[in-house]
Amino acid sequence: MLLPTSLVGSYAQPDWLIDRQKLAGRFPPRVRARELWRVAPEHLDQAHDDATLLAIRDQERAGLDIITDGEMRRESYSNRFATALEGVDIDNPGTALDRSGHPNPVPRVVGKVRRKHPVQVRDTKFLRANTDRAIKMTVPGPFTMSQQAQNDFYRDEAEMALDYAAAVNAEIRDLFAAGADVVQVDEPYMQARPEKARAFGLAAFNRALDGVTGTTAMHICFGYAAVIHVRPPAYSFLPELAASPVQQISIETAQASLDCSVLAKLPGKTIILGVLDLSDMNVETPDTVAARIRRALPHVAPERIIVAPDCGLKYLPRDVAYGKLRAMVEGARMVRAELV
Amino acid sequence: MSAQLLPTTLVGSYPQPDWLIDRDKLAHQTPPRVRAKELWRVAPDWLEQAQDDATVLAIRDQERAGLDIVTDGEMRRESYSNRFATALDGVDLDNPGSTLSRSGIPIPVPRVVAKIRRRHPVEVRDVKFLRQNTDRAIKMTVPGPFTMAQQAQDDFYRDEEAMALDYAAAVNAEIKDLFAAGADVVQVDEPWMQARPEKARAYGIKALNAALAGVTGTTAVHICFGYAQTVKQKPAGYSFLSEFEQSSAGQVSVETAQPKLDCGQLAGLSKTIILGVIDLGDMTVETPEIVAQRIRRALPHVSAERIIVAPDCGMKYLPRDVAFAKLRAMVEGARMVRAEHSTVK
Repeated sequence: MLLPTSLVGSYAQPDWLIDRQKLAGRFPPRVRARELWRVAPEHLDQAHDDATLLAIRDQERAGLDIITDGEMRRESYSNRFATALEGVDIDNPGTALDRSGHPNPVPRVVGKVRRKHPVQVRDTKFLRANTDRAIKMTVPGPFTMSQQAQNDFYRDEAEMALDYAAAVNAEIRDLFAAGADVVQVDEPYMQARPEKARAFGLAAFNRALDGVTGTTAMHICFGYAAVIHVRPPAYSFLPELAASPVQQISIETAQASLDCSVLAKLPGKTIILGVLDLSDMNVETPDTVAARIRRALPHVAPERIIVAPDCGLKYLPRDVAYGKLRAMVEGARMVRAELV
Repeated sequence: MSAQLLPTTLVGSYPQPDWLIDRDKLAHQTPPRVRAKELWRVAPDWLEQAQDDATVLAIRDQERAGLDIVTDGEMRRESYSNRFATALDGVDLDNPGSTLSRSGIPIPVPRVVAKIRRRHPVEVRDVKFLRQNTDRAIKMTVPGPFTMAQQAQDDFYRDEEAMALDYAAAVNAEIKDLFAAGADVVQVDEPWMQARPEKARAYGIKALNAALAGVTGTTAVHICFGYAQTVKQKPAGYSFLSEFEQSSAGQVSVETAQPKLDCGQLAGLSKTIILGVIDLGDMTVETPEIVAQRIRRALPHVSAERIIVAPDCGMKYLPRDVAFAKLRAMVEGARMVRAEHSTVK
C-alpha cells in the first residue's frame, strides 16, 4: 500500500504509570530516573506491559500500518538501553551538555562499552505477540549515546562510539531474530553535532548496521518540541546519509516547515515523513496533514514515503496524541486516493 | 442482536490488573458490600484514568478471545454490587450495619436509614465508555434489588419487601439510563435469590419485575451459587430457578460447569439461557472439547437458538492469563458445537 503510516517511536504514557509532569519538567533522563514511575517495582513489569497494550490498541484503532511498543517501558528513548550496558557507571554519573547547552547527568564511561545481554528482545516478542500488523522497534544510536556520556576511559569519542555501535549491532540482530519487521536507530544528536557526526558519527552508525539484513531506519531530528522550541528550516546533517546502508530516514518537516527539496538528495531512501507538529496541541485537520505530505511529493516518489509524526509523541497529552494519529491516517488516505 | 448461533459473552467481571487493585487482599476477604477504597493501588487523582485503561484492556482481551457480547469487565468495581449500592440515597456507609454473608459470616453492609433513592445515574459514564471502545454488542451489569436488600441492614423500613421494592425503583431508573446510553443488554445480578430461596419466592421476582418494569431492551438475570473461590462444594441443582419463568427478564444466566448442573432443570424455562460452561473453581484451562461437551449437555433441554455461551460466574478472582485462556477455549468450544449444529440442519 502507498503511504503507510507509523509512529516515530514513543507514544504518550498514562499518568498512573509515570509522573508525566515531572518528566516534562526536566531534561530527558540519560541515567535512570526510577523515581518517575508511579507503580511499585513488583507490579511495574505488568503495568509496562499493559501500557504497551494500550499504546498498541490506540495505534490499531487510529489505523496505523506499522506499530511500535510506544516505548512505554522507557524514561527516555535512549536511557533504557544506554544504562543496561557494561562499562558505564550510572551510580556516579558524569555530566554532558544537552543539545540545549545545559548540563545533564549522563552515564560515566569507565570501561569498555559492551552489551551484557539483549535489552529489548522481550519487548519485541511482547509486541509481536500482541499485534498482527508490521512492527518497528527503536534503539538509541551509537553516536547519540556517545554524546550522552562522559568519556573517562577511551582515548577519543570516535573509539567509544564504535564500541557503542558494536553493542547496538548485536541488539539489532537480536531484535530482528525476535520478530521485528523494522528496526530504527535514533540519532537525533547527528543534527545537534553535525561536525562530529561527519567526523566519526556516520561511521559508527554504519558499523551498527553491519551485516544486518532486515529493514533499518534512522531517526534524526531537532529535539523534542517540548524541550527545544526553535527550529531551523533545514537540517545541518542529512545529505550525508545518502551513502549509509540504512533504508529509511525519519525526518521532521511539520514544525520546521522544512524545505522538502533537501529530500531529493536522498535518492533511494524511503523517507519517514514527519507531518505532525508536536509543539501545537491543536489536532491537525486531515487537510493540513495531506498538504504536508504533498509538499514532499515533488522531491520523493510516493512509493518511498511513510507518513509519521515529526518525532516521538511521549510528551503529548494522550487525547491529543490519539487525535493527531487519526488525522494523520485520514490525511494519508486522502493523498493516497489522489495518487491511484 | 447477535446474528450467529451460540454467541459468547462474559457473565460480568474480568480479572483486574495487580497495579490497579490489591488482588491478594481482595481475594482474602468477603466481597465488599460497603466501600473498600484502600484496595486500590492507584492514587485518587489517577484512579479514573487507570480504571478506564483497565477497562480498555478487558475489552481488548474479550475481543482477541473472540467474544461476541462484551462487558466492561467491572474494572471500576470492588465487587459486583457495592459501586451501585453505595451510591444510593438512604444508606449510611460511615456507620455500616452488619449482615451474614452467604457463607454465614458477619460482614459490614450499608445501613439503610432512610428511603432508598437513586441520586444520579451510576454507570452511565461506564456504558458510554464501553460503547465508544468496542464495535461489538455490549452488556452492562447492575446488582439486583433483592440481592441489595439482603446485603443491607434495614434500620428504616422494618419491611424487607418494601425496602426491596425501593431498591427496585432505583435499579429501574438505572436500567433505563443504561439502555439510553447505548447498552445492548442489561443484566441484573441476583445471586442471593439462590442463597435465600424462601425470601426470593416471597418477594424476589416481584422486586425483579419492578426493576424491569417498562424496560424495552434485552434484559438478563444472573443467579449463582457464589464465587468458586469462596464456595467449593456446589449442589447439582438450583433451589430457585424455575421461578424466573415468571420474571420479565429475557435471559437467565446460570452456572452448569462447576456444579455439574443437571441441565434438565433448564427445561422449565422458555428464556434464553446464558449457559455457564467454564468452571471457575479449577485453574486448569478447559479444552475446547470439554467446553463443547458442557454445551451439548444442555442441548436436549434448551434449543441452540436460546443458548448464549459464558463462564459460570464473574472471573474477577482468576489469574489474568488463566481467565484469558479460558475465554479462548470457550470461544473455540462454542465454534465446535456451532459447526455440528449447522451440518445437522
